[in-house]
Amino acid sequence: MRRGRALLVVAILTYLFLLSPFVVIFVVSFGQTLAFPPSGLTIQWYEKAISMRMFRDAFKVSLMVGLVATLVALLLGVPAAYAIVRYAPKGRQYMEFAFESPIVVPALVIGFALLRFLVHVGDIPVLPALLIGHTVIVIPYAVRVTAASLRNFDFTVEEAAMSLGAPQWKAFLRVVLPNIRTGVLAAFILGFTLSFNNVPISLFLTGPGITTLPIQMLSYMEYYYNPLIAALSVLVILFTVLVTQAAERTLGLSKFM
Amino acid sequence: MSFLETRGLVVGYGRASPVLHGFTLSLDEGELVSLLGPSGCGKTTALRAILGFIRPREGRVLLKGDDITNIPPYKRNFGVVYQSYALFPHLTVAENVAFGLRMRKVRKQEVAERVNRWLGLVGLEDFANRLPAQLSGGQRQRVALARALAVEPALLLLDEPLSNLDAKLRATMRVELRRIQKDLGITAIYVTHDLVEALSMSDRIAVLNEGRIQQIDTPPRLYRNPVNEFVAHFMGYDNSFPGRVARVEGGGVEVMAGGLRLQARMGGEGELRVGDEVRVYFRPERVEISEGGPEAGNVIPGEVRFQSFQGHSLQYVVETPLGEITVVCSEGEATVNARSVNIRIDQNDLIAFRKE
Repeated sequence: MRRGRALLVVAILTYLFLLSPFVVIFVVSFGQTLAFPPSGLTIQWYEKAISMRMFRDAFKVSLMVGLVATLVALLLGVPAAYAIVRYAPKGRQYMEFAFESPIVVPALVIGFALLRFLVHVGDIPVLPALLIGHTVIVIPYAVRVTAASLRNFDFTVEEAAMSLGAPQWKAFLRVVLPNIRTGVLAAFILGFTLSFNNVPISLFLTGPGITTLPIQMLSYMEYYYNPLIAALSVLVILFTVLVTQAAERTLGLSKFM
Repeated sequence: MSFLETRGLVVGYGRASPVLHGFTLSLDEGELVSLLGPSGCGKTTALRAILGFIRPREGRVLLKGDDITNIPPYKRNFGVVYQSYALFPHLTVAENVAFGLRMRKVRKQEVAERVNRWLGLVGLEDFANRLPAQLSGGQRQRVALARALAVEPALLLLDEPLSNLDAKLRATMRVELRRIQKDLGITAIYVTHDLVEALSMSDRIAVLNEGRIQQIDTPPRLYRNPVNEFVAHFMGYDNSFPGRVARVEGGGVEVMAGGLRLQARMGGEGELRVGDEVRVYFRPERVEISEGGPEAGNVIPGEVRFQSFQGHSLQYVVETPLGEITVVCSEGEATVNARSVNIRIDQNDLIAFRKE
C-alpha cells in the first residue's frame, strides 16, 4: 500500500513537471500582456494569430511540407525496412546505422550541409530543398518504427500468400502492409509532428516568401513581446493532437483492402 | 512418368554449406509421401525448394515431366499448410479461403460458392465471418487446409501441420487429413518429425538425416527393414548393443556380445563377414520377459531395475550383460514380479548393422 502511494506521488509530480509549461502557455495565451498570472482575460491574441497572413501562409507551408516529406519518407523507408528485416542482408547493421545517421548528426549540421550543397551548389529552389531536408530527417523514424513492426510479423504468412498465387509485390500490399499498418501509422504521426515542429533544418532552408510556421514564430518573437505566440502555440498543440487522433481514427481502424 | 519429381536437389542458404545434398524423390499421382526426420535434417528446406521459395544450387524439380525449377512460387499452383497455419490475421475465415481464388480472378459469385463448399467440407460454415484470432488451434488448422485446397492445387504440401495441436485432436486430424487427401486424390508431401504420424498417414515415407534421404519405402517395410542405424533408431528400435560377428549363415549371423551368442539377421546393404564389428538393434515391444528358466533361442538373463505402468502397456528397464534394455509388454500379458528375469528375442527381431 505504502509503495503504491509513493508511486502515485511520483507519477503526479512527473505529470506536473511535464504539463506545467503547457498550463502556463495556455493561461498566458488568454492574458492581456505576457505575464503570469495574467492581469485580465481576452481572446484577442487568438483572433490576431488566425487573421495574420504571415502565419496562415507559414502554416500552409508547414502542413504541405510535413505531409509530403512524411509520405516520401515512408515510401522510401517502408521498403527499406522490409528489405532489412525480411532478407537480413549482409552488413545489415551498417545499413540500419546509415538510415539512423540523421538522428546522430546534429540537425543544424544537416541543415547547413543541405543549404550548402542543394541551394548554393546545386541551385535547387527553396521549396524542394526544404522538402528534401525534411524527408531526410523523417526517414530514420520511418525505417525504425516500421522495422520494429515488421520484426513482429511472421513472414510465412507472406509465403502463404505467394503460394496462393500472389506475386511478391501483391503479397506485400495485400498481406504484409495491412498487418504492419499500426507501425506505419505510428511512423506517419511521428514523422509528421517531427517535420511540422522542426526548426534547425528549416532555419537554413526557408527563404523569402516560403517559411514554415516554427520559423515564422521564431522571427516574430524576435520583434514582438506579447501573448500572441502563446496563443499560436496552443493552436499548434491542438492541431497536432487533432492530426494524431484523425490519423488513428481513419487509418487505424480501416483495412488497407 | 511420375507426377512430381526432384532430381539431385542441392539447396543451401547464402554461402553456407548446403542443407540438402542431392535430394531425389518422385511421387505418383494421388500419393502421399512423408518426409520424416529430426529437426534440422533438411525436410522443411526440401519443402521450400519444391514450393519455389529457395532456388536450388543444383538439380531440377519436375511436375508431370515439365521442368518447373525456375517458375516462381505464385505460378506453381501448389497448396501449402504451415505448422503456424500462417493465416492472414487481418482477414476473416471466408476471406482467407477466398484469397487464392481472388488472386486467380475467379468471378465473385463462384468465389462465394467455392468458399462455402470448402468451409462446409472442413466443418466451419458457422465461422465464416470470424477472424483467425477468434478461432481455436484446430479450427485454424482447418481454415489453413481449406485455404490451400480451395485453389485446387496440383500438389499439397504440409509442413508439420499437426504439431501445434493437442494429442487427441492430432489423432482425429490425422485420420481426417488422410481421408480428405484420398477423397480428392490429391498428391501430397507431408513433412513431420513424428513417427506415428508418418506411419499412419503415408503411402511412402522418406527418412531424412543431415540433408540426405536415408531410405524411402512403404510404412510397413520401413518399419520392419530399416537400412541403417539411423533409420532403425528413428523407427523405434530403441535398444541396441555392440558385438562381433562369430558366424554367418544365409541371411543370419551369430553375434558375440557380452559373453553371449545371439542369432540375428543382417541389416543394411552389403554382407557381413566373420569378425565384423556390428551394432544390433531391436524394439522394446518385440521382447518377451519371463521368470522361467532358459528356453530355446536368444535368451538374455537380467535384473529388473525399474518398472512403470503406462496404461495400455508396462515398461521394464532390465540390467543385462548387454547393458540396460527397455522392454514394453502389453497390459494383460503375463507380468513378472521377480528381480531376476530372462528376456527372449526372436532372431528376426534382432538386426545387426556393420559399425560405421
